[in-house]
Amino acid sequence: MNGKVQARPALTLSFFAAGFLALAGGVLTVALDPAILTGPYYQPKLLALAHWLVLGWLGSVFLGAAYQLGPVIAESPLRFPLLGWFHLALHLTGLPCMVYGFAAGNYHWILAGGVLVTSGCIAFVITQLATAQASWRGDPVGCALVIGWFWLAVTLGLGLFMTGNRLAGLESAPSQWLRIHAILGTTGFFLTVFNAVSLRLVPMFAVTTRQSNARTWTSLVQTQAGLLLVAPASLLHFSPLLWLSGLLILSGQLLFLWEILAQLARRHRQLDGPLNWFAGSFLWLPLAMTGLLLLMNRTGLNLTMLEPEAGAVLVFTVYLLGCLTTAVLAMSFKIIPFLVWQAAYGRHLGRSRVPPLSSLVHERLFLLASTGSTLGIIILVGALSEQSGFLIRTAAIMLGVGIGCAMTNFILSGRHLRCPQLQPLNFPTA
Amino acid sequence: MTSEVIDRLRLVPDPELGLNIVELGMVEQIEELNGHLRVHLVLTSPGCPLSGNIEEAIHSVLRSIPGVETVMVEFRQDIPWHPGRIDPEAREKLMGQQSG
Repeated sequence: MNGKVQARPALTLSFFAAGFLALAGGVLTVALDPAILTGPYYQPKLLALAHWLVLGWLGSVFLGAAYQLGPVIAESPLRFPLLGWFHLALHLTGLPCMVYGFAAGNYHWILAGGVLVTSGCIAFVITQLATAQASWRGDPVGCALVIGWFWLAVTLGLGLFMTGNRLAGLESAPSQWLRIHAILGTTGFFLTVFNAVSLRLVPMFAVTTRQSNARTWTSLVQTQAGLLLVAPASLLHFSPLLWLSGLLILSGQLLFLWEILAQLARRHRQLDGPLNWFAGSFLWLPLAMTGLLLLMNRTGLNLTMLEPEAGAVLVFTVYLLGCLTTAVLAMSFKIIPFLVWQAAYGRHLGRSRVPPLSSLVHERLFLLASTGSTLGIIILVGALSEQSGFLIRTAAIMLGVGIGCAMTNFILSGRHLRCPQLQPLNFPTA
Repeated sequence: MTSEVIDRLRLVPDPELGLNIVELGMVEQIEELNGHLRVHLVLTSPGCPLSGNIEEAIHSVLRSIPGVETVMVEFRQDIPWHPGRIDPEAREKLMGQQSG
């Protein structure tokens, strides 16, 4: 192996495009019908929206990014790239079927969609495992990624298991399995991968280094120990175990946050707008994990006076939108321009003068995207605490403006693919 | 010839950081023997997706030097890159860099 990695920008960009369209669709749905987000979580429209956003938005972006970051982390070219396109096709076919099934309360559609999405994820895991096998590094990042795939498999398996049970008339909802599926699906896969990717990207973009191996490992071990306890604790209804599980996840994430802040404190680069926004996403993390701890123990969220069932929507909004969506939106201002730049200019490097990567980010659009999205999410959290339909709609509109500006930026950056801005390279004279 | 080689390598930028590969301390060693050049490179991030493009760019800028017959680029995976390798002036530039 010579250290060279062949990137697959088109595959990742296609997943990102699907993700952004899903996010825009989800936000539009909330703006049109804010009542979806009020009341308890077990209602068909909300289940449909949750799967649309978690799988359609976050799932598409995380899985798409893995096709770019997996080879980078494994330091090896992506294996079986055609399987990646097959995965995209299955994902895009299965997701609408599944979401339609949830909205219509039709478990046959849910099962059909779930099987397609799961088949796609099997293709994904095959490509990732084959890629990682070539040069897998047993560091916290490499381990966390593999563990993330395990949680992905567990979540999808649980989803299919529950759907099969419903079709066979063996289970009434909502069950403990549903809680386990929701917690492991959102925290098991997404949180573990979020940790891994952040631990890789922060040193890369902020020009810094890992500050403490012991802290990073302990964070991973504590978080995973907490996640492993979720299922037995929930099935046994054993309160001390539920508290232990939640506390382990929370303390693991606090250690992760400490490591990221320590890395940022020792950076060798002034943070630009997208990196500052990305750093801001970490502020939501302790809030989300504390909410999860209270939710797992069915403790009323005293500050908001919400019942646990309605509180679940609030906690998952803080986590999925506040933390993860903010991080993904911010990082997409790094990753998408980079992929476009690489496709447009990578082969011209050393042959012509090429524009800097920063020229693919429009300052005004970025400002509108970051401000609109951040305010939208903050207002949405307040709106859910107050159960205010008017504020939910206002928040969705602001979030929609932010997302629209981000998408406009990415579409505009595509002009570099059509008309590359190349200038002659002047070689220095001897 | 080495100074001319280094000047040419300064034409290969890192698009994200806005510095060239020499300023970033990525060039570990340059060997030259009878027109055959071998550049030892340390990547800022192992598995960098631009490594293939950087290798081609180095070929492109060095092959046009009169007297150069062949160019080889070797990625040194035994040497880890760290921020201390950045040229001090470039480091100041990086810390003062405005929003991209």
